[in-house]
Amino acid sequence: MKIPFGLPRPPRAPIRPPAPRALYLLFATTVLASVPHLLMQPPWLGAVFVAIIAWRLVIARRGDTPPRALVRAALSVAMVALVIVQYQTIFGRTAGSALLVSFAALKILETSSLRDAMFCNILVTIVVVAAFLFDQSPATAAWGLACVLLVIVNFTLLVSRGSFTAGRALGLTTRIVALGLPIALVAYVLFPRIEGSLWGIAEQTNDAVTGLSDRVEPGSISRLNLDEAVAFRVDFQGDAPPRPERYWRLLVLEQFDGRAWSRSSRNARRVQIKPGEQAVIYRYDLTLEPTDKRWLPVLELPLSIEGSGRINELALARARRPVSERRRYRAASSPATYLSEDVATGAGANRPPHVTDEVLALARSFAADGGGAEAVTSRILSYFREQPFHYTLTPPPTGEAPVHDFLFETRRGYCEHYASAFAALMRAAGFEARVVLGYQGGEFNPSGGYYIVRQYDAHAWAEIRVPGRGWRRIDPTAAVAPERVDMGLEALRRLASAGALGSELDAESIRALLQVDWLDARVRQLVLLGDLLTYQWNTWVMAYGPEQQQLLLRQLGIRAPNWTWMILALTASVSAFVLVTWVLLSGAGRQRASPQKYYTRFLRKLARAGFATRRSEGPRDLARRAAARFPRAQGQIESITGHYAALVYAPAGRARLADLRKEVRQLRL
Amino acid sequence: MSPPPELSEVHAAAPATDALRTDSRKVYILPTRFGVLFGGALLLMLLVSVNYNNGLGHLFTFLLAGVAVVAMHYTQRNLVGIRVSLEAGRPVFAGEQAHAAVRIRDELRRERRAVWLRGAGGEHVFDLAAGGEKRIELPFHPPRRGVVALPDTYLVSVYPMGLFCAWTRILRGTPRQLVYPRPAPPLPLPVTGGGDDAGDVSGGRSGQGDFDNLRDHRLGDPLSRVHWRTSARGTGLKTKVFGGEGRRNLVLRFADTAGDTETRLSILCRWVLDAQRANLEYALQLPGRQLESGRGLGHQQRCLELLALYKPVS
Repeated sequence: MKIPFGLPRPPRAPIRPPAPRALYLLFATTVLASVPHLLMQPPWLGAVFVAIIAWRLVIARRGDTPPRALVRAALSVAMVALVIVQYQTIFGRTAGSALLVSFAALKILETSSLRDAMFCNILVTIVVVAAFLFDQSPATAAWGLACVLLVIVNFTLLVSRGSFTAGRALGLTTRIVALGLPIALVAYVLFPRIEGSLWGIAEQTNDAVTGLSDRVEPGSISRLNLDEAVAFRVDFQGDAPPRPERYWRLLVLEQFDGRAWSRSSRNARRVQIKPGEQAVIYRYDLTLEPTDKRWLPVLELPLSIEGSGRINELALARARRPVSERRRYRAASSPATYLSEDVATGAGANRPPHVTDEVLALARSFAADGGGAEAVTSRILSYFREQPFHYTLTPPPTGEAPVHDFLFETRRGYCEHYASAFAALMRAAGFEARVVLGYQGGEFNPSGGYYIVRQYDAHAWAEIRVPGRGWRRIDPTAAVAPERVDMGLEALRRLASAGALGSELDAESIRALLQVDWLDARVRQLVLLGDLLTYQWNTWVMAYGPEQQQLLLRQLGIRAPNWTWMILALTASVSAFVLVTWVLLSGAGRQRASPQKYYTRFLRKLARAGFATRRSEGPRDLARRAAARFPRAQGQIESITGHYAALVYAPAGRARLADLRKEVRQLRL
Repeated sequence: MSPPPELSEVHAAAPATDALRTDSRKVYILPTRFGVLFGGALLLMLLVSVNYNNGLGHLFTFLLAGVAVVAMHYTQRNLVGIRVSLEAGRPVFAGEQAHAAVRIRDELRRERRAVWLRGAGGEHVFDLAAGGEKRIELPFHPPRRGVVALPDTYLVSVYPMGLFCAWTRILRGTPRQLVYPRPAPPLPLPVTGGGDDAGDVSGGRSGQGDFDNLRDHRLGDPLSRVHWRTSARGTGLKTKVFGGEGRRNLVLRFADTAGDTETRLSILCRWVLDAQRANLEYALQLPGRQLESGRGLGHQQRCLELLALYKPVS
């Protein structure tokens, strides 16, 4: 090896066979690191893995040598073949994970030399990080940290070869990690994040994402009403709108086939929406759970959205690609009464199929008294309120013509029934109307100061177009069950379980019904605290992408953090931390505690008190003279001199040095 | 013609010990192959984390990188502030193993772990308690006779993680090891002077047999050879001189040997050893340099040193 700069040739790195103890710990670490992979792989892989480990242990117990290279090569080929049979590929996350743990097991099988052991230990770090591709929960992070600590312990045990107890190795490991952590955190914050991928993500991870679909038909939302999964969390800067104003729009459904509402097939353009005059503007950070959809929920009329989100002409926000990872974005919205005229008009007020003559007749009766869309709307809502319509969490099934069945037969429904029936009636009456799908409300988490919107907050409402003013939100459900909008679905469910849903109750009795006992309240508090931790974790770990990075850096006062800036800052701060580490470890920064250092302080104190030291005299003569000059401090002076003499002539313990330091500090002349 | 080497010169050129303290400017550090491999693994992790936009992946990649950086500091720190002194061992014959004694002391009150002391001929791994001291004999094979520099010796450490290898060269060049020529295979002593029964020289005669002569006792003569009867007469101690010793007047001459210089020196070395074992009195003659006849271990050492330091006349 040629060494540049005229450095002396490095000697060969020392090699010694690893101690058996170190090998066993390495095997244990490898197994621990492989567990999360094995749990999501087919059982045969776990069985093979366990078999290979057992084989290695038998070898170790008998003192045999590991199988020969030919056998190992055959095994490797067999494992690759098995993975290909299972997944038809060796690329991608899942197949890659299977290959990785297979190789880890085979590596263990052959490991007996230091070289193999070091290699295996490095392989373990890859196995650990690969597991994060499947799960990034705090529990996984804790497991990962444990694995990393074990890996470092393994390194130290392998290198120090038996001269180290595992406990002391762990102590050293903790110090190393503690010193490495600041470097890691700075790099984590400043390393420029990029949107999307380097070579594309072939497969989707979220196999069973619950949530809204892009159709509204009977049952499409009510199936979610027990789903407590978090849809997104919102952190408002400044005031939040009151609950009845918190409508999160997700989808606008303009196609109605008489049964289901669905999206129209037009290509939405990107538009710039201007706020109305005197509009209240709410700014918020929204952390969306993965949906595998491009929909980004926003409050009512979105004015701006940061990052890669776009606002289209339906006043909806869309991501560039499906949201497969948790994602955070900042947006501003204005919950105006009318969405601005910019928002495109929908499909016409055509008579949809499956709308019966009775429905048509009913719609015409509402329109007969004249008036615009708003007048007709209030008539329909009064009709819902006055006729025996009921809001229920368990709507009865409807037939081929759901709007007809609901209006004239069951009259019991969930939000989708009301929204759908209302919009259908409006259209039948000759007005433009559409169904909007999204979430309504959200629970406030007082410990974190943010709102949690869950899947059961999914809601459907309607929008009507008032010519000259724009689209206006109408929530027919609120006409029937104002509690849904005022208190949220959770409260509604509790009322329902008390049998009080739909009964005429005054506010006082409703509050009494909703009163929860002390224990429930504490449990709820704990749940919310847990959610806060999850939320912070999501914000800083799982959703920490380019958008969140920009947000954070801007909060830290950097106006336009671009790539150049980030790379410079990254280099500078990492170097600074490395330097600090070096100073801490080499002791370059501090003068070593020595008897001379404290004795010099003592002499300085004497000098300040006007006592001249003579070059020719030793400490004892000096002490005698000083004691005569400062009789009150005689004891201290003698004690200091005694400590100093003892330390210089016979290196004594640290305790004595500490005593010297203390007494010099306390000396008053 | 080069002046004959004086022994004082040798000793001046080869101080018994040499000492230095390792300091951070002379401790070099490079990644080991495991370090390079680990770096590759980190790069892979970073690429995968970026590709999948994986927060924990980023965090752990950076954590492992930070750990490696800290480990690098630890590796260097393990070698800085050690006082090393090295002394040459006893003279040896070429082909024999010599031992350099290395004394190692921690001067920074730091515990040292898994430090390798490595020279050309051997290596030794040691731990050192904070402030501790150790003496290690490091074997090496001198390449030739003469005054030989001790081999380059290094302190090496890959502690704590084996990802970086720090090394510092200690004490290049000095001190020196004196190496006698390799003794030739056994062969008869040369026939010199007026000896008639050449070749039959056997040592270990008893002190009671016939002796040929008496001479003044010299330091180094065995007590068994003192002729007490004569000595008791007040003439001072007399030593018995046995058959042939004095008469033969053994002179080991470079000119009596054949072959190249080293072979000749080897033969002379063998003769010196045999003559000493036989307790003969012998002189040594090299071109341009000779030692008067003498005997005893002191004489042998002087002869061997002369052989070790012999420089062929150019």
